Amino acid sequence: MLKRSFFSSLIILYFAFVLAPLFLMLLGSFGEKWFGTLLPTGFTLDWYSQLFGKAMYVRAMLMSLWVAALTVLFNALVSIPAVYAIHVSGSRKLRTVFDFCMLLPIAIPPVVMGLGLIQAFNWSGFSLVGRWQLLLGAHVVYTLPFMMRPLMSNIEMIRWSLLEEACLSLGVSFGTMVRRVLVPNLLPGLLSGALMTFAMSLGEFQLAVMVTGSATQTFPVVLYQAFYVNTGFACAATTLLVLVSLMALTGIVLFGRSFSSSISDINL
Amino acid sequence: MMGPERSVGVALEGIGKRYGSAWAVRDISLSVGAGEFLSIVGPSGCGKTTLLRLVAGFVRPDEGTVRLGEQPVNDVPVRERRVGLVFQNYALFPNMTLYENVAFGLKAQNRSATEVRRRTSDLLEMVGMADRAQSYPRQLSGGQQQRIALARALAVEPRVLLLDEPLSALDAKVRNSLRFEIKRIQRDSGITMIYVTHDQEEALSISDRVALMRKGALEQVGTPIELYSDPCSLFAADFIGVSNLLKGESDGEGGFLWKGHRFILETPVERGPASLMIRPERLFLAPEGVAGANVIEALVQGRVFLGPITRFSCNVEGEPLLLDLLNVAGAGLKVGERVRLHFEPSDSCVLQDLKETVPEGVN
Ligand SMILES: Nc1ncnc2c1ncn2[C@@H]1O[C@H](COP(=O)(O)OP(=O)(O)OP(=O)(O)O)[C@@H](O)[C@H]1O
Ligand SMILES: [Mg+2]
Repeated sequence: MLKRSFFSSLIILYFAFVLAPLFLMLLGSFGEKWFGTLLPTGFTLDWYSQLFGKAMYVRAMLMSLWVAALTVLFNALVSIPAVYAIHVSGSRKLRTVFDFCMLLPIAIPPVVMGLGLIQAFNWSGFSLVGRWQLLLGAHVVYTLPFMMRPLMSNIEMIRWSLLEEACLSLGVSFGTMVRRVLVPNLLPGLLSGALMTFAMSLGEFQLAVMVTGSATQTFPVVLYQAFYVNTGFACAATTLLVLVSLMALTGIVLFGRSFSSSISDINL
Repeated sequence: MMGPERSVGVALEGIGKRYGSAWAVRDISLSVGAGEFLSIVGPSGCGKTTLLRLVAGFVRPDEGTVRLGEQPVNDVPVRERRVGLVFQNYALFPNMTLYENVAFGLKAQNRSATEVRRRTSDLLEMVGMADRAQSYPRQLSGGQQQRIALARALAVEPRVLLLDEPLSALDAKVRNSLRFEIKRIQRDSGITMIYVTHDQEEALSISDRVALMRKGALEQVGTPIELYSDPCSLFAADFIGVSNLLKGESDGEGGFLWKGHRFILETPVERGPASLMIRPERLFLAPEGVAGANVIEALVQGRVFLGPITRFSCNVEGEPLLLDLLNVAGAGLKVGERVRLHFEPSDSCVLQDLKETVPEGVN
């Protein structure tokens, strides 16, 4: 009994920490003033109309979505062959390298990576710094493990090497095997990897602030700057980011479901 | 398009496969006739799976030649060998319905749509799963999944079908019925089957021939009856069926010495230490008053009821001896009873286990 109430209060605390700030942001985005009071005062939709009115903010949002979508795409294009190769080779060495790489983004702070990128790609006469391609590259490297990991457990769970042997004994060509067996059976892993990496890229701040320029700023960067200008506006921007993020994630889930309904019992 | 070709035999000529420095299988020569049902049995780790994978082409031999029919296939990739496979854990494609699973290989062969449809339905019919065509593998029991795996493998008309412990994940009842179904399908389709199992009883009941393996080598190959009644070694006698093995000595003059008895042998064997094998059902209760050479006095110590028979364990001067008696009216012994056991010379078999001294290094 005591144990139970302890755990339920833990859960309540958890939600308070996650949801309370979001709720306050939502309130703030509709408030006229939020200065020196516990809660904002007045009601206005001004902040939202400003947000959609200014080209800079819309462009930043589109840039964020663009980079996030491409991040997911490149992650998938890199991860599926990589995970396949590691699994099929059955090599212990490769697996060790894989496990090590999975730790890199946790071990290396983004700020270190950002500085490194600036050092590496900023030459006189030609610089990648300030271009969205560099940010895309940084995001792919940064989020790759979060695509690889679910794919790896997916391919192990379906015991791919046996399925491949079945394909081989049926005389199925490599292309057909990949299209009709490998990819469909990796959808659950692909889906959870896509969710994770999309959300990470969309909200990523440290790398973005370092490697983007004024024309390529992503939404989190402009949002951060907006906080210094106006609380209400920043709240509206935050709310929008959360909303877009949630919508995109729901979209990915629905998209994935429609393909993988037959194997939805594969849980990762 | 590959035309339907009759199934072919398999020949292994001096096959060896090494992992690191240890030989998984070594010096295996074996030929399987077209349309034959050969089982491979042996204890865990003796190389059964390795041998099967050598035939399938997943493993390349370090020594020797694998032939399908007349054709050497060492350099032929799996895809082109046209060898079907059934795995222990089914390995059905989870994203496809049962129908799609069976049709998949046919489509890959670019068969016409009507032919794919007809053949898939025929095969689903054959394994008794036609009514579940639109289900997914996860909705089936293990036994049903294995039926589909069988249909999927047979659909593409392989020249040989290899099965690696296909029934060992199933419960006893399903296993029993499915094994005879596999046998029926094999007989009807006339396909060559190589069937790996660790269950010697299963192998004896459905095979034309059985190959017994031990530590990567072939111990004995023969019909089920040959293996059962005429094992070539202690190991074979011990692995196949239940046996009494009396460790004693041959006197070189047609007698076998054991605990002060001298048993008469059917044919004399060379003098020296050996074991005498007698199957428990080949021991009989000696009629009162009969005093022959092959009579043993024993004390009944325990009994196990096995349905049609009861197995008694009898004690002969500290050595246990098993005796099977049919459960017919009037039969049966009480624990503690003294009995006189008798066997015919032709029902015993002297084994000098030469292979016991096989050089180590063969894993
Ligand atoms: N890929 C591999 N790498 C290294 N050693 C292997 C490999 N495959 C098999 N072996 C070794 O080869 C030997 C034979 O293995 P195999 O799987 O053929 O035995 P098995 O008779 O099928 O056993 P089981 O009844 O347990 O399935 C074993 O000692 C095993 O450790
Ligand atoms: Mg095996």
